[in-house]
Amino acid sequence: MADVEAYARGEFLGDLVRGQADTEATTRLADKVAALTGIDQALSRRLTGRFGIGDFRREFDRKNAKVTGRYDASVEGFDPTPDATSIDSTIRPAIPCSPR
Amino acid sequence: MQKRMAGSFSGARPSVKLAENCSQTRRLAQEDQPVTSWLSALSLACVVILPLALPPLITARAQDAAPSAQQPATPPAGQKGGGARGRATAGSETSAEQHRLPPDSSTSRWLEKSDRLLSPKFVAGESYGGIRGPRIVRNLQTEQGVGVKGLVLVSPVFDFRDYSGSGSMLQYVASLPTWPRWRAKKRSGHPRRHGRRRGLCARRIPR
Repeated sequence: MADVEAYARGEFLGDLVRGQADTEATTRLADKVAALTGIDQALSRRLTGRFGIGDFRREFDRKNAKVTGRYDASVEGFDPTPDATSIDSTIRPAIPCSPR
Repeated sequence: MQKRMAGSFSGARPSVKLAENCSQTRRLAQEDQPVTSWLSALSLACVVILPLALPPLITARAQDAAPSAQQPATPPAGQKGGGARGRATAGSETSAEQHRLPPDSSTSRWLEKSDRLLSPKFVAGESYGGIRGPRIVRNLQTEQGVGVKGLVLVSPVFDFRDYSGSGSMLQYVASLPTWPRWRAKKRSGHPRRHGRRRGLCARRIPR
């Protein structure tokens, strides 16, 4: 994992700083993130490689329509509404007291 | 009594250590055991005896606050960790300081009633506790004359811009290395697919 950490602190940060207007840097960054996480490359490009926590939870095991736990990615559950645009809109009403 | 405590304790700065899970928290607390062993023995004795001697409300608090001998003296539940939110005091908010952390002497009162003023005191905070923990320690040391030996922060949030939202690019730098780890973990065998579901404290987080 040392190589991933080195990438995150170096090249990755450099490409982030270049901004989304730099399409070459953004594509490079998005493709690398997709390769590292196993998340769909087209989606990674659409999100410009900038994944929020909710994005990762939803897309990490998209193949099986599973979402990961918010505090522990080793816990997975079925995505109740895989067609919804955001994970929060599907999970939050189901768990009234859940933290955001 | 409070002044005396201030004189003897508040000069020293509490140590700050970061823990990633509950077992680490316990280990850190153990490392910070008091120098004299009779003090910790006394603390343990208090933990055992107190629930019998105090009125019902305090008994409940003491039980909540004293789950194990590793925590020599834990403040009452109202000032603990992620749930460290101060109680709202209607109509008495005169400053931002007060708004964020209303004056609350329940900790010092509990310590006094329980004869625990001389025990080593640790404050533990998780998640939001990263923001509230240091404030509570400061409040205890500067306003209430309660010396704090250590502050344990579990997965603390210090600055939400580094956590999520659009404030900082560093959030992506911080979270990226975590994600391939879970992918590797998933490939090598899902930790939860077989076997008994374990409690939060027993879970091992891969590095």
